[in-house]
Amino acid sequence: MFSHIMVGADDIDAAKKFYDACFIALGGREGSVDPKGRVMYIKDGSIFIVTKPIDGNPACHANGGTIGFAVDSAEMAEAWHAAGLANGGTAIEDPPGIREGGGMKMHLAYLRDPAGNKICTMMRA
Amino acid sequence: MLNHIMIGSGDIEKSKSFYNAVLGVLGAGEPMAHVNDTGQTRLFYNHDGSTFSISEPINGKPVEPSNGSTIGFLCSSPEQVVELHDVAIANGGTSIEDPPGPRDGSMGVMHLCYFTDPDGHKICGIHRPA
Repeated sequence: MFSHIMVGADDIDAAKKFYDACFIALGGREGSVDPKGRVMYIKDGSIFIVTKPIDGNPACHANGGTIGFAVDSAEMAEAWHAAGLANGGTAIEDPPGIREGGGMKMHLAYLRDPAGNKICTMMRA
Repeated sequence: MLNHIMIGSGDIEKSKSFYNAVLGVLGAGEPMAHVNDTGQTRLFYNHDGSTFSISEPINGKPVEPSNGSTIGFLCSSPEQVVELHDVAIANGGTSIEDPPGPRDGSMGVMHLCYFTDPDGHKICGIHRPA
């Protein structure tokens, strides 16, 4: 359903350091910088892009929005969370672990990236 | 790579009517609705192996769209890109950037459309050459 997701950041170098570490933890690769200075990550047929806002105003994160990355295991989710924390991310919500609700059991881990965008990993447990 | 994308909504019924129409163009069906433990209503559109979700913010504060962010929905043809845009505008969306159509890019000609949803989230429809 999704072709790509783009998030805003004012400090592209800080964002690249953070997302490089996060994507490597998910089995992906470092991002590549395109001619417009955007950082692109391509994995499993979808594209994740970090950009400075094109309107020239500061980037701001959403309230109510989250981007959820797929993981293969709880260990991968925890490695992703640790890599993010070690590279400028901030831990939010409960620590990584299993949550039960609405008849579902899920492993979740939450971070904010250096620009404040809310991201998580999610896996059915 | 993406398990899901969640966006905030200030009016779930309005969002539902908008996204039912827009995602209907892509072939998605009615969303599942769920109220979480802290009372926020969420809608989940499951389509093509990923989930698009709409939620009232869990911190009780107003929704704010991000500046710099865009969600790109994959379209099956250039015509579907135009249809996605037109259905969005007819259901409370706002057209932004250049009108729907082809753009020359490093990977060939892509068909793109851009609009914002009723909460101001920036959405893109895209068809890439095979």
